[in-house]
Amino acid sequence: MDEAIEMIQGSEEIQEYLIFSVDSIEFGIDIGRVKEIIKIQPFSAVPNALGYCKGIINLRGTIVPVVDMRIKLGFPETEYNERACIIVIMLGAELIGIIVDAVRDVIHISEKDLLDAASLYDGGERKKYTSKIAVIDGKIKQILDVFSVFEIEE
Amino acid sequence: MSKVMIVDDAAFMRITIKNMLKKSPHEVVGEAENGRVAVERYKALRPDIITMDITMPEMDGLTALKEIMSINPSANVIMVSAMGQEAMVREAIMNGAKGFIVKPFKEDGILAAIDKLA
Amino acid sequence: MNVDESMLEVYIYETQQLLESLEDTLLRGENEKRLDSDDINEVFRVMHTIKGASAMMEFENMSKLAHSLEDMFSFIREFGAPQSEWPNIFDLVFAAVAFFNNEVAKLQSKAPMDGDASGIFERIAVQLERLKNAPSEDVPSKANESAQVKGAGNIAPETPRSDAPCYKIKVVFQENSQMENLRAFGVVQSLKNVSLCTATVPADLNAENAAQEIVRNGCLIFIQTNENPDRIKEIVEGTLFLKSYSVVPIEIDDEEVPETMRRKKDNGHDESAQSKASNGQTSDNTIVETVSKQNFISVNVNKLDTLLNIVGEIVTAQSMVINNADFGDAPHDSFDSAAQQLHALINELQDIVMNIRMIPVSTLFQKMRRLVRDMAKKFDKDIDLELIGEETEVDKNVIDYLSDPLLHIIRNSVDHGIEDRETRKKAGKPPRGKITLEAHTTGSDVIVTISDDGKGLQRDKILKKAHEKGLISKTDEEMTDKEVFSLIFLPGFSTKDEVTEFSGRGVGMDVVRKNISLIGGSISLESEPGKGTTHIIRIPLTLTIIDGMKFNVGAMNFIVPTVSVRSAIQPDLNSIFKDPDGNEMVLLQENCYPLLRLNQFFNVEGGVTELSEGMIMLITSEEKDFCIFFDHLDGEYQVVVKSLPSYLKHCSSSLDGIGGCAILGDGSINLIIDVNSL
Repeated sequence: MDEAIEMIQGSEEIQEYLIFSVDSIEFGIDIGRVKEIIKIQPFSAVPNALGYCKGIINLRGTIVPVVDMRIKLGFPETEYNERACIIVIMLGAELIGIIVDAVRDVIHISEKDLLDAASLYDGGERKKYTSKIAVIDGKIKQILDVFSVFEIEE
Repeated sequence: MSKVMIVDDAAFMRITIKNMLKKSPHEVVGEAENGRVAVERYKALRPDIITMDITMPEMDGLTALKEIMSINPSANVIMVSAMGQEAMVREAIMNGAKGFIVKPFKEDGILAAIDKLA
Repeated sequence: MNVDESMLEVYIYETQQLLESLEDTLLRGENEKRLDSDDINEVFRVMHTIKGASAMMEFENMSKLAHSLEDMFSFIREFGAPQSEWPNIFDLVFAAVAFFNNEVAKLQSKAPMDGDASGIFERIAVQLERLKNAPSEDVPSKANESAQVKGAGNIAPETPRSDAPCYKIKVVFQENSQMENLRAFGVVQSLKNVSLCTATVPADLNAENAAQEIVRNGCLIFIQTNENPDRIKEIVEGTLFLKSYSVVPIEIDDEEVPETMRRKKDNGHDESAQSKASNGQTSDNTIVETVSKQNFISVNVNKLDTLLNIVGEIVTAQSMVINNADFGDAPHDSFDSAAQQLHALINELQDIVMNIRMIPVSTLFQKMRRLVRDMAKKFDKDIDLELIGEETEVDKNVIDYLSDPLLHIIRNSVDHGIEDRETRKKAGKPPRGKITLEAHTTGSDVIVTISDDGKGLQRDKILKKAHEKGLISKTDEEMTDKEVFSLIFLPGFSTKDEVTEFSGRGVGMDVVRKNISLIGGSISLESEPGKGTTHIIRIPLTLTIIDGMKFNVGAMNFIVPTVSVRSAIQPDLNSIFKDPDGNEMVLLQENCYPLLRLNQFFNVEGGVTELSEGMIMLITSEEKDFCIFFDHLDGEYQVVVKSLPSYLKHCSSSLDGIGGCAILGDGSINLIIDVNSL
């Protein structure tokens, strides 16, 4: 974190990212897209649901579809433990909940520290969901491209 | 501090002028969307200063100016005009308008004008 | 300028309103092939307002374009326009309106306003030239009037009297204060009361270059007066946008004093009488607008949506309170009467909220006028659009849902329905085609019909296409016309692959039907070969609160609109059998109905599978009656319909049968059944 704070002072183009984990991988998502983080709660089922869709929830009067990121990103499904939670993100005018294993941190990443994913990472299925990569404290954070994950046009 | 009335058929212009006056000591006591309403409100509100658009439906700014001047010959009316309205501005001046501003104007322009008449 | 969000919002809103009303005026005028003087005034005024507001916002393209149209209409207002020029003028204004609309839409979606108006500018310039060279029409012109005003503006030197002292006043205005000649004129005017005689340099403040000259050199004003110089200073100082000034005494014989003033002194001739007379005259620029709109306020639709949602929650909460199990069966008379009163009030509140949301279909209909106009031009057809019942009011949401289907149907009518002139003549029809758009209400529904007098649907062509696509199982002879026509609503029927400027996304009639059924409406059509086609859309007036029966299948909760339910019963196992194809059928009141097991249809785990443990409901839809099988009936509710999140279609392999959802007072989510897509 200290390093991150230093970076704020150093550069103008710094974005905040919410870092969360799915399986063994740490992902980042632009914090501007995050509406709130809520705990796992009972879902209402969706007819003919696809595997990754756990159902819909009622978030203070708004209907929010919830997607399990493990399944969506091709990891093995597990039981939700007490660290699992739902990150509610804004996609255009709508909200979508994503279930992740754990929320880790909020970090600042300078634009110049973001690397094009294609040059570094060539691991099949998940590649298309990752737009950028940052190496923070020797660990790789993959910045999620929410538009390609959720198959909608920007 | 002066009481100001804003007369303009465009709500956008009214809100713009109002916003510009927010930082000044002057108070917007009323608005009117055409000349007829302006004359009515003038009688009721007796503002110190009036900003008066020229082109308006129902009753234009010139006619309203004349009516207001006949109610109070020392009324302070600033015409809000645009390029191309020279003839009407001239007539307004002859009928007692204290001056005019030309759209588009800046905040300091209209503030200076109102300050001067205040 | 420091623009805050509210100004931007007002700018967008007001500009759109102006453009909309302008479009109405133009479309009305286009029928007459010209605009009358009131309309010309309106165009002028709208352009003037847009010019001013856009200039304030520093939207240069918008403001410039509005300015050039303002100029053109200022000319037309004074000198008229020959009949032959009107079509071009209409085209130009329409093009400009389209440009404005586009830019405002960009602004609204926070996109850069990068439109290029240079083409329109050029055309307007050319048009204005043509108008100026055209033989002028005999229009009761304002030319005289404005000449008069100009005359009045000349400074008329007063007769100098005796030997009152003379002063030379120099005024310099602030940079960019604009119309400096008139500012100088203002100074002269305010000195008039105290001065006997005035003259200026530049001499003619009305001259074209007077303003530039004053910007360069300032303005000199010479007055002869008995007034105290301090008073003169005071008067001059009161001028707006004054940068500097000086007042110095001067001899009237000084060379610097304009000759006119010196000469006046000699012969004492008073020329001012005439101009004074015209001072009193008012220029008759009064623009008459007959409709007063002061009693209306505009409200953000989101606020109304919120209000409606809350009223919906109140309705639900009310039923939870009143039917609360804690009361048991004991009589509670005073509670009942209070509850009765509450119920009446809430009903009234609900009616009012619904009513607030009702708006006339006229704006939507007017949009169609524009569409027909543009398309007819494009396809080189002559088409009149007749609008009936524009004043019919429906819920704002209904308007939104109705827009796309209407566009689509009218596009079809213009493109495929109405024949070209030659074909029409050969068929003995009037060369001008006609489309009629009509709205009226019947109790709880609004009915919109779109009819054209075109060639009508061709039964054999539809059948041929349907066979190619494998959409029918019956033989041709078995099918009634109505059945054949309804084939075009089937998914996959529409073959229009090409995407034109007008057809846009190339959606088919199946999408039209889907859209309309989403809001609980239905569409049907009638057609007669050679005579034309009529589409009939029926939509509930308000679609946001419905009465529904609640039931569940496994853990899934559903609401089915009560209007679609004919009965709900415990199934009698003896009345259920399989037809030769293996489909389950129910025998009810001597009729046979297909049985749909919802747990299978919606792929629900944990639902009741034994017929003896569940319930069946007889449903009536547009096309057929059928039975559904579910677990358990849960009572009747009034619910607010919410649309499904659009991402949900990525979460499910099929959302057929689901029209929306509702949240009940306990927070549970219930899916609303769309009986027409089950």
